[in-house]
Amino acid sequence: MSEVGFAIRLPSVAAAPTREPWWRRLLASRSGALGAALTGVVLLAALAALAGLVPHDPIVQHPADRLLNPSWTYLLGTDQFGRDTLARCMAGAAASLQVSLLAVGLASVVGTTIGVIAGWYGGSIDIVAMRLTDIFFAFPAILLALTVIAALGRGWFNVAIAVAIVYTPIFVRMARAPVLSLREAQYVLAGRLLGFSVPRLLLRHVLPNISSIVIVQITLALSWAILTESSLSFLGLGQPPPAPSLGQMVSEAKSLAVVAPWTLFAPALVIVIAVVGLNLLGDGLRDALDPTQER
Amino acid sequence: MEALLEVTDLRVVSSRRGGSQEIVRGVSFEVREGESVALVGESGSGKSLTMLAVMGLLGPGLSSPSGDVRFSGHELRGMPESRLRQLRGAEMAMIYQDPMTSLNPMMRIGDQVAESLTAHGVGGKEAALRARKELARVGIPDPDRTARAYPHEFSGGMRQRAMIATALVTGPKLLIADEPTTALDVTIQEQILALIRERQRGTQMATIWITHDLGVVAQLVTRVLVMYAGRIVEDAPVRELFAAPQHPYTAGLLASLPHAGDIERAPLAQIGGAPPAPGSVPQGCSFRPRCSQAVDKCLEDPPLMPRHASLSACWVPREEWT
Repeated sequence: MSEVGFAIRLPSVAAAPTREPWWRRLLASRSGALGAALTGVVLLAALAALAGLVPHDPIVQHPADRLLNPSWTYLLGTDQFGRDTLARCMAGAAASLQVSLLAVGLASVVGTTIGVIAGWYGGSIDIVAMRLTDIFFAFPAILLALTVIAALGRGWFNVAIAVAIVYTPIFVRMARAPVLSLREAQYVLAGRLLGFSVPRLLLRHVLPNISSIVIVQITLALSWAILTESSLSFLGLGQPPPAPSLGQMVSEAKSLAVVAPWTLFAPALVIVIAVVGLNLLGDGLRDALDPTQER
Repeated sequence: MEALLEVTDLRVVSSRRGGSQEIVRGVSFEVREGESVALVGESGSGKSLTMLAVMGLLGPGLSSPSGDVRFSGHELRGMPESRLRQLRGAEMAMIYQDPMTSLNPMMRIGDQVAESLTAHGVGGKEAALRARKELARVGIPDPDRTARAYPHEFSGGMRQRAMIATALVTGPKLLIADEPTTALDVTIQEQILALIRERQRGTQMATIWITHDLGVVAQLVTRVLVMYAGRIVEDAPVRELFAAPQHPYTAGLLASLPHAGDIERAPLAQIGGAPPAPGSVPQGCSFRPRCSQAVDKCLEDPPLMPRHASLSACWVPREEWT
């Protein structure tokens, strides 16, 4: 009888598979790259405005230069007070982003925390949280924001609070759903068997596994927040004049659209670029961060 | 030798959908330091639930209304959760079936092994060092590099090794292995079993193997607990169990094993009928409806009775079987 020998070797670990970093995959997709570019343009313009890198002061009026066509002096023309439209668009974008970032920052932290806790503990905490989000969802976003501002008063900080309240329930819902299945996940049970505390399980094992969903949601929520903020200032509930704000600029330019269309188109275009850019970026991030998606 | 784990009359009750059903119905056993014990039984016989109840980690809808669990001199029942947590992982650890989903996909392997230590108060640097040593000991090549890998970069066998490392890195006194090899192919199974056996040698670590694979049992353990419908029906040294099973259920299980030497392709023996569903367990001996040896006495609940070197919950001694 011949001897049969089996060489049993340990399976060697494949040289770390060539999975590209998430930002590479983001930029490789068409919508991701376009979204990143558009968002980047708006962000740069806003940062420049904050740093004072604007062609003219956005508030100073030039009575002699009222309603001028776009020219080399005023790249996007001037409004009825002779203020530079480009500078006002940049400053308006900065103001809009400031409100949106604060609002979405608050909404994502508060909402995700509530959602994770509701999903993890279930029971009456979960029921109360879900019914509350139902109540919030029953109101149109703008109506809810208007109500909050009516209660809190005007000012950019109050606008941010109002927008945050509008978008918190979405983060609650979005964080809760995956936690419902994660709390039963084998590696969470393994953590319990190893004596991990609940805060450790939540912070180190549950949260990282919902982080990609949260990040995508933040991008999308930013675009909605910009829209809501612009709508509020369009209705005259944003920053009080003369501080520049995109919605307010659109609102004031309504009656000037025939004589000076640039005063309407420029701020509207900035809103569109920001919203479309953030949406595309969100879509791109969703694909780039999804570990099951291999292109 | 002193008992490391002593379980007395443990019961687990499931209270879902209105009614409540007893799934583990009074289980008592003990495990000594360094001992290897198997808990065998069909799916649904209550093996895993028994051990989860011992660890104090029953899922929602499950509770343990009675039973004492003494571990290493501590009474675990009624112990505050924070104290229990210190024991879990550090003194008693559990690994289980599915290596594919038992590791956190977002965390590096090395960090996961180290976390068993940091969760019990070991400093980060020392934990990382010990984690890498442990990875090497469970047979993961080049641990300095592989510790930085994520679970999806590992094969099933490698993940199971990493999982075992998370359980063993703290040097527990008791390791509960819940079918640790069912999801792996045969050659890897052997390696994993050899690995745990190897680690047991030289330490005083006791192991409890939860399995339905009597083949695994034969080569690994010194004593076997056979569970049927939420009870232990036989508690026997492994040699006695295979040579002369004292409970008709055990005898039936052994008869249903295929033998490599069988030339004729005769159908495998089987036990007629099916185990009772929880909640509809027959009066008296729960195996009675399927038992070929049943007598009138079996309408009474049989306790575990000494039979030769074993304990058996059967009124009819093997010598009187027909």
